[in-house]
Amino acid sequence: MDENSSTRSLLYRSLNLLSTDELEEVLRTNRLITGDMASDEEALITITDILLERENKPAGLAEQETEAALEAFWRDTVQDEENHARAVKSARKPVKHRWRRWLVGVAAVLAIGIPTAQALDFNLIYIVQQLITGQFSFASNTETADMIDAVKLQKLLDEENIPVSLATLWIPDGFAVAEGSRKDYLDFELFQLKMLNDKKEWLVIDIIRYKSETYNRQTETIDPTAKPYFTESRQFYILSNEKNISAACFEKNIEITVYGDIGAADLCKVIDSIG
Amino acid sequence: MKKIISVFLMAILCFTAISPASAAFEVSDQELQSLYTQQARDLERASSYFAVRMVWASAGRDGELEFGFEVGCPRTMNRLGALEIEIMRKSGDNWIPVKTYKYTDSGMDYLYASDDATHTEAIYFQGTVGRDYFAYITLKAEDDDGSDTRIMLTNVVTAED
Repeated sequence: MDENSSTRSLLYRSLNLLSTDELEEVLRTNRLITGDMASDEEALITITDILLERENKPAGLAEQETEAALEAFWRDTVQDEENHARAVKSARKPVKHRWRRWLVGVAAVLAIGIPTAQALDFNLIYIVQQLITGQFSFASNTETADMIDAVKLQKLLDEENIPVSLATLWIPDGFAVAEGSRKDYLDFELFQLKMLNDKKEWLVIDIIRYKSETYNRQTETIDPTAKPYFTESRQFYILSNEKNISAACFEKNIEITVYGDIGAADLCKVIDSIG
Repeated sequence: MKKIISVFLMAILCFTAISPASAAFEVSDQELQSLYTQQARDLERASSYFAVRMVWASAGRDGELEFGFEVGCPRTMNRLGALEIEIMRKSGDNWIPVKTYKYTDSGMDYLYASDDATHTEAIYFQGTVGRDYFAYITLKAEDDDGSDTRIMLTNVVTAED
């Protein structure tokens, strides 16, 4: 079996562990699994195939097949004999239905996401936690949104107690998360999330935390005629000219700047969504 | 003569399509203040290329100084970043050039990125404890339609022990 076939087989078996309801939920919410566009596309096609296969089978039979798939997954994937025995025993325990579904979900996400996570050197457990608890969901029409960089950046912000929420980030049509990063300098840290569309236009969120409230830098100043815009918790200023639009907010030692090739209405939706 | 130099420096800061020539020559304290005033006016006006322009100077330990910049554009640029960073040190009532870093220098090409929309970088310089410094940073963004170049002055920083 070549590597691609092996990957497809693992993907099929992993997704087949999920119940019909859970698979439909993944499709309905467009909540992507691996963060890798190609893998996600394949996952979504596989989900559709599984649902079509199950359509002609009685519900009870589909449930039995899910349990059988769970056992097969542990048997074939967990190499260590002792772990294998423990896993199968654990899988056969009469656990509550919701708990079993949660376990199945974690297993599937781990199986699919581990290669991507290893490549990105990222804490997959955090992603799984966010996915399972439903705390992280983009409001977006973008079908290829890559959430891993956004989740990673959110984790960094959470660790630093910086009160910005990317969990509810609204992403304009056509944009997808391209990169999240953190850079540390002597007097501040820069957290940056970049989103890109097919036209090579960007939407960027800069979050700068200065190490003190008195800091020195030379940057754009707020034009006295700039329009204030109030979100639930912050006051932004909207700056624009014929080609650029940006929103800036200064709160003690935190500075948030959002800019990009988008309209004013979309810019306001973005800043409304980040808390 | 000083007035002529000052007017010339202000003109450099006003024009957007300047060549990336070095800005390094001695300036007085008074001229520097005029340049900051002019820069503040320039920063009130948005650039058609730069959505974000920021430069800074920070002091670390043992005389270490950090000079950095951030540029952000709403569209992908062919190239963007800093062409050069020119460090000035206070000497009496004047400021004199002490070191210039250019992206064309060996190992410095990271200052001027390709095919991106944002770029943030810094260089580190060993200053003399107790002396004041600032830097001219020449920022540029270019795409198929043209380019924009701005020389910005960082804040003044004192090297600390």
